[in-house]
Amino acid sequence: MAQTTTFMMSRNDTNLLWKRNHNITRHSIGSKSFGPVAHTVIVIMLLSIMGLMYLAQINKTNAFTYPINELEAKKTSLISEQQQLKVEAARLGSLDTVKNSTVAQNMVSPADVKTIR
Amino acid sequence: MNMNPRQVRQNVKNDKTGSKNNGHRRLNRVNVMQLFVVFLGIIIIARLFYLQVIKHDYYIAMANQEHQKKFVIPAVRGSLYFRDGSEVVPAVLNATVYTLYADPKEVEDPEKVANIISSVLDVDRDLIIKLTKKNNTSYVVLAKRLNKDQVNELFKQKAKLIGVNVIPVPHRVYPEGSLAAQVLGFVNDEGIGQYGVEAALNKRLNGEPGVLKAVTDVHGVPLSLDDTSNIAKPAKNGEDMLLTIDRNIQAKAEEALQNGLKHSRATKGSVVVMDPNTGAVKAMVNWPSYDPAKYFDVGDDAYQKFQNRVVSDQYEAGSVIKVLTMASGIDSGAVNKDSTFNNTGYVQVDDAKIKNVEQSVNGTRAMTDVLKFSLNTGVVHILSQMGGGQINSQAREKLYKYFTDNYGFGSVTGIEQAGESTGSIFGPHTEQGNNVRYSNMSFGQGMGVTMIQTVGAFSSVINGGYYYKPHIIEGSVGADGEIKSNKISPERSNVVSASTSASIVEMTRAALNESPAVAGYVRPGYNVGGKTGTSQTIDPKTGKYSDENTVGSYLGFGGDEKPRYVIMVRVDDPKLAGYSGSAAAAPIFGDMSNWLIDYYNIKPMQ
Repeated sequence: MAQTTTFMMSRNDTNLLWKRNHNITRHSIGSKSFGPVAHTVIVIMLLSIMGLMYLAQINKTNAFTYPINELEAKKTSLISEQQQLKVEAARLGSLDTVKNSTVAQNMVSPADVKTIR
Repeated sequence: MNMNPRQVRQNVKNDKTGSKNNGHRRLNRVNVMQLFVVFLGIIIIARLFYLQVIKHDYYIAMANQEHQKKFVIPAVRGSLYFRDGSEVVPAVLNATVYTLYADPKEVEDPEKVANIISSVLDVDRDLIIKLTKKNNTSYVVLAKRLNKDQVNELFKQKAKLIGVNVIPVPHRVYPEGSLAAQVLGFVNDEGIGQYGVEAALNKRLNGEPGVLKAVTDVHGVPLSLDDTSNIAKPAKNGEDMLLTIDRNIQAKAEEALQNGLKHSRATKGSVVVMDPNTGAVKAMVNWPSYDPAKYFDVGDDAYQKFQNRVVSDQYEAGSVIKVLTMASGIDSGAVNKDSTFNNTGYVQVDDAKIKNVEQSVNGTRAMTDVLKFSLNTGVVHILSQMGGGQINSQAREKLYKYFTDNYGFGSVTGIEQAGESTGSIFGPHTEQGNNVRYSNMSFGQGMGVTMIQTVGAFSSVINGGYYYKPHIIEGSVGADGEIKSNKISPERSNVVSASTSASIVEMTRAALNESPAVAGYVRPGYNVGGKTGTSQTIDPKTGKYSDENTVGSYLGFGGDEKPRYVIMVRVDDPKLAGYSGSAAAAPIFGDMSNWLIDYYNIKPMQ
């Protein structure tokens, strides 16, 4: 911490320089401030804190990747299942299935249709 | 020795700067160390400069290779849909199957692995052992197209299947089985469409795969780092497409063709059904066929079965072409519906004598009789009338113009099918395009056409003279199921005049209904017309036309006030008495036409 010291005759009479014993008392009159070492330490500390915050943030973001990947895998699995169900639905509605169904087999041919001209 | 302070200072100074007396500077150890450190520093800086600046890109690439991975995001191949009346039903869907593979270097006990696999799957145990003992590879495929249940069953004993794994593979599924197999085509193991729509529209169906290039963790899981080198390009899925094929008409056409071929003991055949007012193909059938889900099981004649012969196989269609020659003659003003000619049973063209099959109808005959009795002399007469009374270059030029410019013979129709043939037709001024050739062409011999070309041309002469491009894609299906239909407009108008078209409708109707050989096959009282065709094929032994193997064809239409459908049937090598056009092809046309009358709820003629 830097400190400026001025020697003077008296607190109240700075003009009486010619007086005797004028150097016997020391008074501090400057404001207190940080020195170069303190500044460096502060900067390093701030940088460290910022670095830690960045790392924490990055880790937090990265940590989200895993649930995202799990959800992606689940989505893929569900899409695959949906595809399978679509295929099954299409097969159940196919001509062959309809033709061979019990309902179709119990149907009877219509009587001969005549159109009045 | 006593020295004064001045002398001492001078000596010290001399020690520091070196002797001035011997003329050069002396280095002490500190100086050497300083120089060494500086030199070392320069070397390190130079090396760092080389590594970080000059070789920057190289090491960045190397580093990226280590911690960055490129993933291909596969695009989902578009599905295909059939029509079912006004409804839409799936024709080709996607599913996931699995490929079972092994890394032989990882497989510890091939026999145990083979025992487990062969107990679940229908595979050769010895082959599995052989494959898993291969030393020169780290990837061998053990089985393909496994479903999820099979994989689950197999990996119940996962601990024993060391070195064996599965990868998911997209797979095409055909809910309607082999229906319209040649129209659809299939997708091979490399994901490339083969034959049919799959090949013709492979790019649109395939879409574009996406790319994910990202920094990964040690397990290869992509990390969402805010890194500018991360690239994420989403996949663009293939288009879902709606076909014009109506599955009911397609199924009926397949049934009618198979029954017809069985009846006539023919080797193969084809049927195409088209809407003449739009060019939309409603059914396209070839027999023999195959199951597209098992395309890999088709035997040696695979190529024949995969081909959609309706579009890829050009042939001499025979007398069905007479309808088009008649339309050309009437439209060009060479003849009209009521024109007559003297039928002598044969006609001499240069050095060739062209005869009729039917010899009992000689004498004065009307143009309708030309179609009704399939008179070769009649269409040769039309050709000569187009030349002003004789077959000459003018006649040839006119017929050629109608056949190529108006009807589209000699060029592809552009239907969305792979391997479409242009057919072959000789120009009127080529050496081959002589009078005899053109006389033969007037009744469908001496030129190669495809069924789809013929159907497109015939549609244009019975629908008022509009040529619609034959097509099989109606439009696309959106993600929400919304259908975007393609705009339909005629590719050419005035193919023939409206009056010519009306005449052809009337004449073909008469040709069918007044022909005892075919009239019985169709339901009476309806607006149905058509023309038979029996073409000889060239005997490979003699190189000449032979009656031994013929191709029977039938080309006709049906509808109410206006034609609603056009059907063309082709039967190869039938073994029935009579002419194959009327004996083998016409019954299939009749079966199909009668069914369509009910399906479309067509009213009889007033």
